[in-house]
Amino acid sequence: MAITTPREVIGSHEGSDRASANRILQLSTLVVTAIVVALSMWTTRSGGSELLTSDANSIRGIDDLWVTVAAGMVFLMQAGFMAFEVGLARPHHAPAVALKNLVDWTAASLAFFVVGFALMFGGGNSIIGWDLFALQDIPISIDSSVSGPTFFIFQLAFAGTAITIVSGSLVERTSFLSYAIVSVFMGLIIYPIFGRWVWGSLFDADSQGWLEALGFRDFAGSTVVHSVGAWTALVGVSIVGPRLGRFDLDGTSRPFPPSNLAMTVFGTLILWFGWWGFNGGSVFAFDGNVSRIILVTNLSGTAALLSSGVHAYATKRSSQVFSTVIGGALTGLVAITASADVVEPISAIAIGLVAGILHNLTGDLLEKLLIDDALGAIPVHGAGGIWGTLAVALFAPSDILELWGRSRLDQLAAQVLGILVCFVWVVGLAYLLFKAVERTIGLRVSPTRELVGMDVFEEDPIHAADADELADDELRELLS
Amino acid sequence: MAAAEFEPAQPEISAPIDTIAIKMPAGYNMMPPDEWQALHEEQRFNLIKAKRVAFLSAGVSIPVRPALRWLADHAGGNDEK
Repeated sequence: MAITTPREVIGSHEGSDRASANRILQLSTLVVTAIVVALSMWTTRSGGSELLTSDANSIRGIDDLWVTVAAGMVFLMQAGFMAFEVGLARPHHAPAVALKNLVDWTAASLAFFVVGFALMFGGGNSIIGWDLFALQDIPISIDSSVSGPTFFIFQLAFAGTAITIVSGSLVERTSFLSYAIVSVFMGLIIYPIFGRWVWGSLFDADSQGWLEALGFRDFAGSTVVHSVGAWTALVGVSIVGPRLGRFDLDGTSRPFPPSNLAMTVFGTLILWFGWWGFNGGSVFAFDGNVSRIILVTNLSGTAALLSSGVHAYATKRSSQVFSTVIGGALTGLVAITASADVVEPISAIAIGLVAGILHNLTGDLLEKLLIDDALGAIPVHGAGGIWGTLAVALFAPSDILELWGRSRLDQLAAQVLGILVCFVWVVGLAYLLFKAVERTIGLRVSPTRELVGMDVFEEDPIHAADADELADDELRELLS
Repeated sequence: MAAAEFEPAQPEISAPIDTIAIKMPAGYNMMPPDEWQALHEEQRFNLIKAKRVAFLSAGVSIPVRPALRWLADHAGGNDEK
């Protein structure tokens, strides 16, 4: 468009009509220009607003993406547990061990979706939640930086981890169906209700659990996830009993050699990778804390591997050092889980060093008590869970404690309370659960299946005493 | 055949019975000999008649007659049976 300048209009001497036309054109040009400028200014302001909203969405989107990826990393730990366990189990039990890991994830997914999540994070009181069953009416948008479904997926991966810990202790002699039932009840009740007491406010600030109200802190689940799994396993192995031939009648321990330690190391590395998501995702935001948390997580695992290895080399048979060291490293990862958001890297190393030694000592204690924790879940997740939970109070920097408004001793008392409550709750319920299963459908596979391997889809061969050999009178006489 | 006449009808148990396995719908329940002997006689009778019991020595099944004799000789019980 050609714009006529005022000078051209004023300088025009070609008739009044043309002058009028030029004036109208001039005015029109000014009006159009004013409208364009006004529109431009409005558009710029509006665009800025959109940009701000877009930035906020982008930030929230990145948080959501990170937590979803972290959930995937935690889910991958199921594969890590599977490889870890298959490598340590005897070869003829490998298929059943692998299948149990698949089944407990399925049980966790359904049970936690339908009921568990609601009890843990639904609206309710400080003891239990009672809405969001089957995620009904779960808000897509919540106060925190991640959406409701993303939060659920992340928490589901945690529930699956707690449940699969149990399988490692019970392998090679526990009935498949019995284990599946135990897994379902863990996902329905045992895990979510204790989780409510500690993490209830993670999803809804109004749903604070009673333990967190008392100051108990467990960042990513040394107690909530790992100890819950370990104490359930402890009850399970105590009731199911040791594998045949694991201990002599005089109490001599006869460890079964691992079938494939390379597979166990592979599983450990997957678990280690998953732990980065386990702890890093628990921030529920993708900020500078994530990499710092991954750093301290890594340091604790490596320190634990080191101390466990040195201790095992000095005190154990050479054939046991390899598998002991692997468990030691995992114990360090469990131990840092409760405090990864607050401790300094140097503290993480100290936590890991102690964790590695504790792992070895706990394993030795279980042997002396004739408890057959087949793949060492209790030293890793139980001892590591207790130590890690205490470490929150022992290693949290002073300014963090000030921020929490607690002295170190107060915090230690709160941590001890949480550990004890967890033990009592889990052991009590798990005992009732395992006993109920034992009395109704049985817990163990047949001795034959235990000795030659388990195919869960084959009929369990029974080599029962043949009562037809005896007349009733002779049988009664022998029994009297 | 003469040698067979000197063979016992049931072999004696050389190793002790360490576990009694009771068949359940989805697996087994294991118990030590003392716990088995403490069960009521009628309960033990019915379990054996139902072919739900395996007497084990280091994981090996022992036939019913020598197993019951060994248990009567070696394992404790209670006064109620």
